[in-house]
Amino acid sequence: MKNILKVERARHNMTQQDLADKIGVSRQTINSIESNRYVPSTVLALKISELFGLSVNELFELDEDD
Amino acid sequence: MESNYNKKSVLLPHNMKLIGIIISALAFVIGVAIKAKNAESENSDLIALFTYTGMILGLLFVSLSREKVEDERVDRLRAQSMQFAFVFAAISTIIRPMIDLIFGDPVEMEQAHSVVFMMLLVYNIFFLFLKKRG
Repeated sequence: MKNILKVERARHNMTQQDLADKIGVSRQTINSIESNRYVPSTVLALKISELFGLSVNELFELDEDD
Repeated sequence: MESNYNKKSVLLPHNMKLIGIIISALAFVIGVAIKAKNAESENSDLIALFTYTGMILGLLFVSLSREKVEDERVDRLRAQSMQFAFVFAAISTIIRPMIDLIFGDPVEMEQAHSVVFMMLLVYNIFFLFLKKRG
C-alpha cells in the first residue's frame, strides 16, 4: 500500500516525532508507514487522515501487489 | 490523540527490562562460577536448574516489559517474534537429537528448561532485531 504521508507531513510542517506525538505512536512507526514497511490499522489510518483533514482513500492507495 | 495501547496491554513497567537483563546476567555469571569451582559436583543438575530458572525469569521480565511507546506496530513485532521463536524452538527440538545421532553423541530428550530458555532468548533477539530494522 502506498501513501502520501510524507508529503502531507511536510505540507503541515510537521516532523515525524510531532505526528507520532499527536496520534500516540512512536516515531519509528511513522517512519515505517512512510517507507511502506508497515501498513497501519484502520483506526490509525483514520486518526492520521482526520489529523490532515483528508479521507483515508486520499492518504492511502492500494498498490498493484495488494 | 491518546493511544489506547498503553491502557490495554497487560505488561510490566519499562524499567523491568533492565532488571530482567541484570537477573539473567547474574544467574548466568553465578551459575558458570559455581560450575567452574565445583566441576565434579554431585549437585550439577541443581546448579543448572537454578541457573536456567534465573535466566528464564530474567528473560521473561525482558519480554513482558513495556516499550517506551507501546503501539500497534510493537504489538505486531511481538507477534512476529513469538511466531519465529515458537517455530525455531520446535525445529531445533527436532533437529538437535538428529545432530547428536549423526555425530555419535548420546541422544537425549530436550529438557523443558532449555527449550523455554531458547524460545525466550530467540524471541528477545528477534524482537530487538525487528525493532532496530524499523
